[in-house]
Formats: sequence, C-alpha cells, structure tokens
Amino acid sequence: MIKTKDMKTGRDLFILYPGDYYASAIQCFIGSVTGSCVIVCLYDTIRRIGGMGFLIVPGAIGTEGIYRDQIAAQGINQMELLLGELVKLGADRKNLTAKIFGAATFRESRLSREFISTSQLRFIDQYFKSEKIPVYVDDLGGDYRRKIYFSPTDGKVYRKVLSNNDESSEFIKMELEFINRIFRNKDTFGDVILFE
Amino acid sequence: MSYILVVDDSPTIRTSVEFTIKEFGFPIKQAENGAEALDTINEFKGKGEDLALVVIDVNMPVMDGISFLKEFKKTDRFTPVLILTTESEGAKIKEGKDAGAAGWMIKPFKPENLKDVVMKLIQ
Amino acid sequence: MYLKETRRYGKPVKIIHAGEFYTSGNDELIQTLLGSCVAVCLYDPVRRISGMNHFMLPGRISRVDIFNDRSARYGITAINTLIEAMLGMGSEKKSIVAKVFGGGSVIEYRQRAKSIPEDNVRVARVMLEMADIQMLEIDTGGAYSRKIVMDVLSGEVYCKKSASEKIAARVFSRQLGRDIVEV
Ligand SMILES: [Mg+2]
Repeated sequence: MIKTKDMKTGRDLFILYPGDYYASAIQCFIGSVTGSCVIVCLYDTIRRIGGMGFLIVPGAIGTEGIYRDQIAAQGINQMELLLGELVKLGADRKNLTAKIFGAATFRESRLSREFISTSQLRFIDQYFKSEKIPVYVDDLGGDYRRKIYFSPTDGKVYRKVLSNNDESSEFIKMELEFINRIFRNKDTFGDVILFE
Repeated sequence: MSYILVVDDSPTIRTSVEFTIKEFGFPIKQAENGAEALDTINEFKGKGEDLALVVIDVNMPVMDGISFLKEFKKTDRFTPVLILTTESEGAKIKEGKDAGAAGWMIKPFKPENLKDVVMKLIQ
Repeated sequence: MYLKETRRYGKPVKIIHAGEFYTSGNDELIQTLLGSCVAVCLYDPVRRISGMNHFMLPGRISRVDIFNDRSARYGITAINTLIEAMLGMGSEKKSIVAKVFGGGSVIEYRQRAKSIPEDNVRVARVMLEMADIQMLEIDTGGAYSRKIVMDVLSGEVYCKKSASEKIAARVFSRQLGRDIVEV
C-alpha cells in the first residue's frame, strides 16, 4: 500500500497492492487495479464507513459448501481481515453493502477460466448470501484490468477499464505474487495458544 | 446438559464453528456480539441451563470479545472462554490472557485444532 | 537545477537532481544521473512537450510511514506532480507516453538497500498504470548507474548504463547517504 494524493480533488489516495486491505471513516479515496482477483468494497450505509480488500480462493470449493471447506476458509479469512478493520472503526455489518469487481480471465494467463469463473464466483455467491451482505454491484468477468476508486465515506465507486500497459502490468504481476502466496499457504492455519 | 456458546459477528464463521464442534453432542447456541452473549447467558442461567464453554471472536460491533471477557469474568471465573480471532498481535493476546481467557486461536482455524482445544477445555 | 551548455549535443542541457523535475517545450535536452533513484520521462508527441523527474523513496514503505505521511513527502507525489506539470503546459493525459529508468543496485550497497530500488521502480510503474499512461520503455534494475538524456522535442531518451563499480558506488553512496538519513 502506498499513500499519495488524488490529482483532481487533492484528497488522500491510498493505493492498495493486491492482497492489501484498508478501511476509513474519513474522506479519502482507496484505489487499486484488479485483473483476475476480486476487489471487494464494503460500505456501512448508516455510519458512512467503507473499506476495500482483495479476494481469491486457492482452488475449488467442495460440494459441502463453504462452511466445511478449507479452501473457502482462506477466502473467509481474507474477508474477516477487512471486516475486522471496518468493525474497529465502528461499522456494523448489519448496515453493510458490497460492490465487487474483477474475476477477469486473460487468454495468456496461467489461471484457468474454470478456476476464475467457477471457483471464485461460487465462493462469492455463497459467502455474501451467508453473511447477508447485499451485493449492489457485481462487475465481474471480461478480459481487461479494472481500475477501482472507492470513496469510503459515501460508498461511491468509480471504475475505469484500463487500455494501456497490457503486456507490462505491474498490478497483474503483483496479483500473481499474491495468488501464489495464497496457494502456498492454503494448508496453513492460525496458531493455537492455551493459557495457564 | 450444559451448552456451548459460539459468538461471532460473522454468520459464516458461527456456522463453521458449529459444524466443527457439534459432534461432541453439546447443544450449541449462537450470539453475534458480546452484549448478546451476556444476555443469552443470563437468559439460560434463569432456566437452569449450565454453560460449558464460550468460543468468542474479538472484533465485533456493539461489544467486542475482550470487553465481553472482562464483564463475564466478574460473575463467572470458572467457565472457560476461548478466543477465536484474526488478531495475532502479542499485546492483544496478552490482554486476553490477563482478562482470563483460557486460550487464543488465530483464524483461519484448522477444524482438527479447534476440536482438540474444545475437547481439552470442556473436560 | 542549473543550465549547462555543451557543445557535444549542440543544444542547451538542463540537469536535474534527486527531488527535482523539469518540463519543457523548447529545443533542448534534460539530463540526470541515476543510481538507485528512478526517473520517469513523459512525452506528449501531439504538443511536443517533455518532462522528467528524479525521485527516491526513503526505504521500504511501512504502515507507520504511510500514516506519518513520510512516504508521501518523498517520491510518490513526484509522479503526479510531473503529470500535472505536463497538463499545465497544455498536454492531454491520453496523449502522454512514459519511459522509466533507474532503480539500479550495486553489490556493496545491496544488503543495506535491499529492496529499495525495486520499490522505487514499482511505485513508478503503479502510479503510471493507475493513470493509464502507456509505458514505452522500462530500463531498470541491475548493477548499473545510468546517465539519462532526453531530447524534449522528439521525446527520445538516451540511456547510458555504467557498470563500473567505482563510479556506480560513488553515485550510490551520495544518493543513499542523502536520502536515507531522514528515515
Ligand atoms: Mg469479527
């Protein structure tokens, strides 16, 4: 994550690298670019607090669904990290709405269409239903990078399809690093500490 | 029979935890924040139902897990409280330990680990 | 920044240093010397305007830096500043193209500066991608110092890499010494 200024408004702009998450209760922009990963923007419509995070599940969800699935547990945890930041700022998940973007498939990518369109979308569908968080916008698929600008205090999202740097995208490179990290850690779970 | 109370603001995680530990045969009740957990405990205490264990998240709206722990330990020093959270910072863990938590588990949890810990704590 | 007249190129040369930038529509050259620093060169072929900056982040960007505004004080805003200066001279963003140079590392400094040059290059690429500016040439990394000369009217950039450890080490020690001290 880096911090800079939005040129048009002069507001603080937090640029997330794939895998980062950030929430704010004060006026700013949170921005990033997504290809195959999913960017999730959550917004508390009453308290006016919002946050952005990245989501990718490292494989296919089993037939029993997300509650008993170790692959799904990794995606649930990525969302927990973002939700935790929102709750710390005073957000209530009963007021949350979601806007989600990404899951693009690129012809030359190592990631299969099956992995992106089936596994990711299946997780998203089950997760947001289970959490009872309404998804207001889902802008998924295609074969292009999306630049997402999120204003966390009013929930507005500005989306632009990028047309340059297809072959030399730094975000796609970082996204693959993030996806590889998630795959490497898919059998890694949190520590247990017993007191006394 | 005494029951296990699962407290988390995420319905997905409450259900996952319930699926993982229901084989022990304890009735399981759910609450979505610390305040609701205290209400639930009081309600069932009135009905004469015993509490075996609390599994609770930290980051929740209304009342977080650490505040719950401090409040709960004023009236019940013996029922074990297991923290289940994404928080992994040493200072936060120490706060939980000092407030009387029986254990601290970091998400994502491995189902076998959760079963082991729950087994140890309810014995 | 100072004006340097050289006979070798037959044009006036503007030399910039770390933390500086320059934009121009005149028939002249912009030059800088890079070690682990990064230079972004922007060119608008429609208006025939060029701009160059030379920036350096103070180190790995940590969360503390972000919230103390440390990272913003250094390189990250330098790219926006340069884009804004180009727009101020009448360029349209959609006509601007970019070239990125620098981010070299020299063996004896590699340990200490580990990922700083890579971070600098990454920031430049991230900012340009967010602005959707096409990067035509990226010549970064490696154990080189680089001398960059940009021809304002044609947008052509001449990049001379020097692998000489001695020269490079001198460039690096000066830049790291100056830029890291405030961390
Ligand atoms: Mg929570």
